[in-house]
Amino acid sequence: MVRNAADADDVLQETNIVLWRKAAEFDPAREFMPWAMRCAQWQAMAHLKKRQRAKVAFDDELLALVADEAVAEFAEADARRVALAGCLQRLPDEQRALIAQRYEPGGSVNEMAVDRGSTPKALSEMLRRIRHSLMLCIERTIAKEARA
Amino acid sequence: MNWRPSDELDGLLNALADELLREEDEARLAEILRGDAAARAHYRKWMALHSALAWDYAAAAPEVTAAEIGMEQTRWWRNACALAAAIAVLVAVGAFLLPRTPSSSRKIATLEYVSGAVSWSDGAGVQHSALKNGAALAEGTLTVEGEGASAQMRFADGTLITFPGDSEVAFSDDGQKRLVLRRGTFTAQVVPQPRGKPMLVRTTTAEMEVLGTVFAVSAEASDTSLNVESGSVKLRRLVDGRDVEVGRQQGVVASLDAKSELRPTAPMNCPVAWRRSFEAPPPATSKGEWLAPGEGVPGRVRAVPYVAGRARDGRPYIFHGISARTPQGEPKSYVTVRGDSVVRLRFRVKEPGTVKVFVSCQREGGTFGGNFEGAVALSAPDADGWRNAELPLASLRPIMGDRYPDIAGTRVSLTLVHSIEHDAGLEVAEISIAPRQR
Repeated sequence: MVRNAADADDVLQETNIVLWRKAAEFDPAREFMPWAMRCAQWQAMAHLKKRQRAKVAFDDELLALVADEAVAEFAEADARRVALAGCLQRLPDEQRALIAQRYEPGGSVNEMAVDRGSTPKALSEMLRRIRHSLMLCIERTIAKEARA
Repeated sequence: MNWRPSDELDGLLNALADELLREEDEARLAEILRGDAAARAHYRKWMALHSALAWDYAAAAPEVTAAEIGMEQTRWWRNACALAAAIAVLVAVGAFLLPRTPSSSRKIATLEYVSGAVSWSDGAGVQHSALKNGAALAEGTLTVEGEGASAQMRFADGTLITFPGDSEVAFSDDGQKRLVLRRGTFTAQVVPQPRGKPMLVRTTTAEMEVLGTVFAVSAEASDTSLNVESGSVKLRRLVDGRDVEVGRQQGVVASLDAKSELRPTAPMNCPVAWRRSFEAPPPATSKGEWLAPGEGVPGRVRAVPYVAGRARDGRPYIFHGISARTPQGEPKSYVTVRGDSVVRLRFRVKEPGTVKVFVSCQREGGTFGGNFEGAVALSAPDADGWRNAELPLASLRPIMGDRYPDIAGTRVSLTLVHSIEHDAGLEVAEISIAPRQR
């Protein structure tokens, strides 16, 4: 819905504030995740309207579909994050350093490309391979744990 | 899970994450997601990874060194909020991707030879296991699983791609061939390609343009080795965009280190005698559990399980073995095979049974030279259970005999000792390959 990490952080902050304010309205008998996701979805849409983007390909219907389907996957989310920690440890040092640089606060491929004398496209392609490796590693770790 | 993401989807998501996505591609990404529930699930996993790296990892990064990077557990509600926001927020939009036609089901290649666990995932993400010789393939991903597996794929124009072992490659041909080698090795015999449409090969660290030649490419996590037997290949190192032309009987390594030299070199001399004992741990590229020497027992490696093949229903055939490779960054082949070369083993087994030796070979220029295998005759063990065995390499059965019949003159790049599916408790203390008289 939004284009960059700064906007994402804004929406996250707004969502957390809304969740905090509305905590009294939350019925403990209901599941937290669908409620929290719906709040986040509303905040993201409101953020987009404020920004008045000329063109938003992700319409309300698609966003609702993505968010609704995500609810069923929440139980796996923590396992994926834990698996990611292990997978990061197994990355070669150079790749781990590249990820650290990309995701440090304010990091961007454009700046990294300038620093390294490379192009944003080339750097993004390298990050793509690393992300792909991490995804595969996470899937393998979760599958292994499921078999154990 | 049979569904696999297309290169297009992965490219769009990557561009999205790196804020490089063009607006026109935003619509394409939305179109894919609207029509495919599996793509939406992949999108959520991908964005969960991106958000976890951005929020959790970045927060930890300043406090630890690169070698100590990790993530600490956070309270569940923070996860919930982060995930909720990630789902809604990170439908973000960014990236570029070269415009591509939707994946095609048109058959573009034939699987000429299959041995072991080889599967193909088509453009729709459906995986086909237990493939047989002659299978027709549309664009997709070919996976050769395990060091003992191999495959040959021929494009419609006659270009032949040989996978001598564990590899994964995505391929397409819409008038221009594109191969993305995600891991492993292949050797290509490329017929002359159409003007302006060279075959493109991409790995984690390099891109190659091929007009018509014979070459081998091997992709590791952080470097790519290219060896050209005939013709030439243009290689571009991704880390800095530097180009180099690699000619006949030359090789080059492209790594993530922009300061490293990028200069084609001639093949190095390869000795005719090689020996490996295990008093010290073997290179990480080798398979097996290292057991330190002590109390009169030599250092050794114990066999570990690995996937050697798959049944039609996907059930894996698990073999148990050890392997010997060179360390990462060194030339792959380590000993030249002569007509009288023998492989010698010092090993022991808890339960006697079949023990086999498998070797994968390269030609002098680094291209594939054949896979060969034979059974070891079990001699009487000594008091500690150790046995010595000697096997002439010329007696090994060529696995692709009609294409690679001769082992003499090749160079060994992998030696695998295994007890097939039976976990015999195999331990190997020494392997050597040398002419018989030595």
